[in-house]
Amino acid sequence: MPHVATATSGRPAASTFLRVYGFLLVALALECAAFEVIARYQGIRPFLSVDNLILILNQSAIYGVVSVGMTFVIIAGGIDLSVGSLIAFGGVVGALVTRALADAGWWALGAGWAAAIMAGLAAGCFSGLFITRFQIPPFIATLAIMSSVRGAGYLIVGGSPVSDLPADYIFLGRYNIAGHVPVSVIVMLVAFAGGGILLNSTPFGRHVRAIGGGAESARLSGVPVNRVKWIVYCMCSVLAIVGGLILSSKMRSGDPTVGVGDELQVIAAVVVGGTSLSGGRGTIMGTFIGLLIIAVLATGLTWIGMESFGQQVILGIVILAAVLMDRFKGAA
Amino acid sequence: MSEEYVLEMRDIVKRFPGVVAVKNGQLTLKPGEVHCLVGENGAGKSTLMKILSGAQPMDSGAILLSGKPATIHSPHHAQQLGISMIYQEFNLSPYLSVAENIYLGREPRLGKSPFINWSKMYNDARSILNRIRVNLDVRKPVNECSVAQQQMVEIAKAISFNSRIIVMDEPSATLTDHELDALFELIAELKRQGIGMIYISHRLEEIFAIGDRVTVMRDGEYIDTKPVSDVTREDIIRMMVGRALTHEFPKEVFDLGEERLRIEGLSRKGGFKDVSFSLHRGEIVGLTGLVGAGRTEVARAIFGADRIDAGQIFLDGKPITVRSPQDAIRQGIGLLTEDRKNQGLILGMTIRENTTLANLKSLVRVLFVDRGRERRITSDFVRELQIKTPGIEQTAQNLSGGNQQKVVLAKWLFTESKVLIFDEPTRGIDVGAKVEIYRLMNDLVRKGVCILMISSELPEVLGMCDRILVMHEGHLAGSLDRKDATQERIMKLATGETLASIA
Repeated sequence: MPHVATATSGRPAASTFLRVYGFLLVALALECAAFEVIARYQGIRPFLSVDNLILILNQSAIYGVVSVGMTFVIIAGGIDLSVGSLIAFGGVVGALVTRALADAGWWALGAGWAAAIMAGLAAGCFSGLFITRFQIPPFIATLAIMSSVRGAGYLIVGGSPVSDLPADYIFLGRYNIAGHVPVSVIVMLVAFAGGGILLNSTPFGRHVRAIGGGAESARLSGVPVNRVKWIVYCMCSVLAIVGGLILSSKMRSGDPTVGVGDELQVIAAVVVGGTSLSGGRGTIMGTFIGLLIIAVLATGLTWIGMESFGQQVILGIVILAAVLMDRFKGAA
Repeated sequence: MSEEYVLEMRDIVKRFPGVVAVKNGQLTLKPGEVHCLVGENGAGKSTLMKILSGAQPMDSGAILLSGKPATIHSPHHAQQLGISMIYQEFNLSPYLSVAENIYLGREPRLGKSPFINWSKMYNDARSILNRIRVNLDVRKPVNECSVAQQQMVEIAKAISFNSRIIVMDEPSATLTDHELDALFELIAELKRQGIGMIYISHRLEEIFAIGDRVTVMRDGEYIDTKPVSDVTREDIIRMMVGRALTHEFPKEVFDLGEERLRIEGLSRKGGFKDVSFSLHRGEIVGLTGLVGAGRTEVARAIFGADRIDAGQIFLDGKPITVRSPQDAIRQGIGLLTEDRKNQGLILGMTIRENTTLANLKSLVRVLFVDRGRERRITSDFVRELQIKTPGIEQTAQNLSGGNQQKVVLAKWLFTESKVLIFDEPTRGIDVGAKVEIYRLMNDLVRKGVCILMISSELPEVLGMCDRILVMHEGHLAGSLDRKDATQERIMKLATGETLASIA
């Protein structure tokens, strides 16, 4: 048998970490090193610096928050195409409610967030309803939600962005704690940490993986398949809304046109992070590293002066390479 | 022999890893003859037919077509040689028309162009259907045809290949009585046209309705071939089951305790009707019958995997409602499914994760799964059940069939159920592991668990069960005590006869 003792229960945690994520970490390190070398060769400012690291994290905060939810959806064997629309919708709802209650100060901001999150829950419930009760494939159900939510965003603001927002509104997107650490980065890190614990250490996370690995076996083992799927789609929608709130806070406006195609960027991060699109297999940590690989790529290519069209070509190549490497690793 | 055979299969041997599926297959077929092939599940009929159709190569033996030795390389080659198979599951493309299905992959062309000559295709299809006297619109999509009509399309397709030999595997299983009459008429028509047919069926009465000769197989061995007019139904049953128990069954008999599970009037449309029985502490009850008799359906209904239309389930005397497997597990009912890979295990998960999946909540300490306890419990099961694996973090897909089944068992042992339903628990696992599983069943019964064991293997049912329930076409045909049960009696009940006629 080729599979020799992979498993003894007392194996040190660090070596497990390296075995699972080593490949992705090496890719990330190589990428950073490459940009550093090119930057020096070109004689521009060095690529690797604390400021740049925070910049990269800050720029990936929105996709990062959303990718946590998407990881759960994909591990459960589904897909959620509605997150791009929800990013726009969250910003619109948050901005509208905050502006309407602007006199109430911080309360207005809280009310805006709460209203947006409720809207996200509603959208997630719809996705869950169609996917579980009516057995509509997730691709189709969330495609429909994507279209409707996009339209609803335009409808409630009449096509133009919500501006004239109170100064507090930029808290999520542009405020730095202790002068350096952006709130958005903290939100993202909390989402990743919470998602990781949920997936790895709770019965819920185990159930999500069981469903993706074999829904019928899971059901016949007493896993409440429909309820778990429902929660997963609600979670993903709410996290997309949070991402939308961060984006709208960064722009200090609620713009219904943003987020088009973001669902694919988020799926890319999840897939590069080693999560299998056929379900059952994937990690939150992998998604985090996948996200960084893509963010470093975008930032680095800009840093060395490549224009955005070229960046898109390279991103495509990186996605393919990541998935091929993952398959190669699986076969080895 | 003076008659010329269209087909002779001589001394066919087929081995699979660990088992000889066919030891000495023999079969001859005359033109215009209906030759029935019978035997229990696993007797080797299907394997023999797969060899004939080119789906499986044989290890040794000879196949003669009209007296000339032939080698059949593939199903496609078999078709070219004039051998067609009609399986229970049809090979039709649902959204294409009747004519398109008949000529799929060899559509007539307009001259040498790449375009289909539709009028020729429809006319040819129509003339074939006329030839076998079937009245069916050739433009109708197949998914709008009834099951019986789809079968006619399959047969028409076979005729269109100029087949001289048609094999029908359980063609009657899904037909109504009326449709069956139509099929028999069609078979009579094919006989007149000189086509030889091999007819496989579990329904013995059909042999006497249409068969010319009958061949019986048992445990991969050829038993005998007789003209149907020379044998009785009893003769055939005796030939089918006539063997001594060869396996080891470590049966232990315990005192019968109080009633644990009782079901009354359980019905599910299209599955089973008005099924009632009860299970007691200290007993293993067998549920048997032919494939399709509704055994698995009953088990799934008790377990909440499928909805029931009528009936009531009682556990320890109290009526319970089971809406989902989750409900059933909570109440103390477990089901080891027949299909380990798709319904029993999450193949990509580890032994540890599979073992605890059905009772994860017992391991939760403040929201989180207690990994340490989980590892200890899994290691205990691996040791106790002697699961052969390098470790508990091995994924289930890397285990052998017997070890996979033990992991499923561990999962249900960990739920500490009161009632366990085993659906074909020993299918596809080797003899050694079988005995281990039987011993485990004894241990469970000793602890007060009651077991309902579904099995098609009669020796196993006779060897391990205290009581045997037999199903026939969705009904409970009868119940036999351990001391009264014989293979003949079970087969009688399973094929729809009453016990009174056994005498």
